[in-house]
Amino acid sequence: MKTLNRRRFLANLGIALSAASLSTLGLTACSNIPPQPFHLGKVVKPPLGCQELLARDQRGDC
Amino acid sequence: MGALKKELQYIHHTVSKHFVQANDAGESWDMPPEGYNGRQWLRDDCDGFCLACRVLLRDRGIPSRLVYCELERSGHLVVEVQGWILDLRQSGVVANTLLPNYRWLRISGYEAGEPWREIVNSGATLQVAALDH
Repeated sequence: MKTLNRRRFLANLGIALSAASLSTLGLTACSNIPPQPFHLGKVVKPPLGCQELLARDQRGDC
Repeated sequence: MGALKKELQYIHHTVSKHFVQANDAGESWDMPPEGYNGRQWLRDDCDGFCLACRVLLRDRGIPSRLVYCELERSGHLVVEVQGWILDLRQSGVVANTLLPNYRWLRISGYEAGEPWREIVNSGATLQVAALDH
């Protein structure tokens, strides 16, 4: 009985460790996804906040 | 980590460190006070955070753009440098490919007063492009 329990424990431990290492690999892969350039379309109006900032503040940077 | 990303992390950290997030004050955008260098305390929302980052980026000669997006159905503003995003809502600099919940809408020019353009690729498209890379 003791041997069976130990085997089951070791099997469960193996599964847990595999799952942990896979999730770590997944996270690493995710954080390595590089940024991509935005594709731009037509000219549009700036947000209202930007329009007002440019109208009232010479230092406005938008 | 690349040199650019390190510098962007530093700027994000510097601005965040002395920034108190205020409730979204509507559409009013305000520049940080003249002479701002990241050590003065600011109390503002996402636009104020972006404009403060942009001041420090400009001081270091790093070209940046403002990006207007939608997050959880409300308007939000972030700063972009070569696809890296500086955002008040994030604890550090994040690639634009890792923000699938953001709906990218409009982007500024690199200089004040330059025209804004619509962004035609969505968050999902950016992720696919990154994985194909």
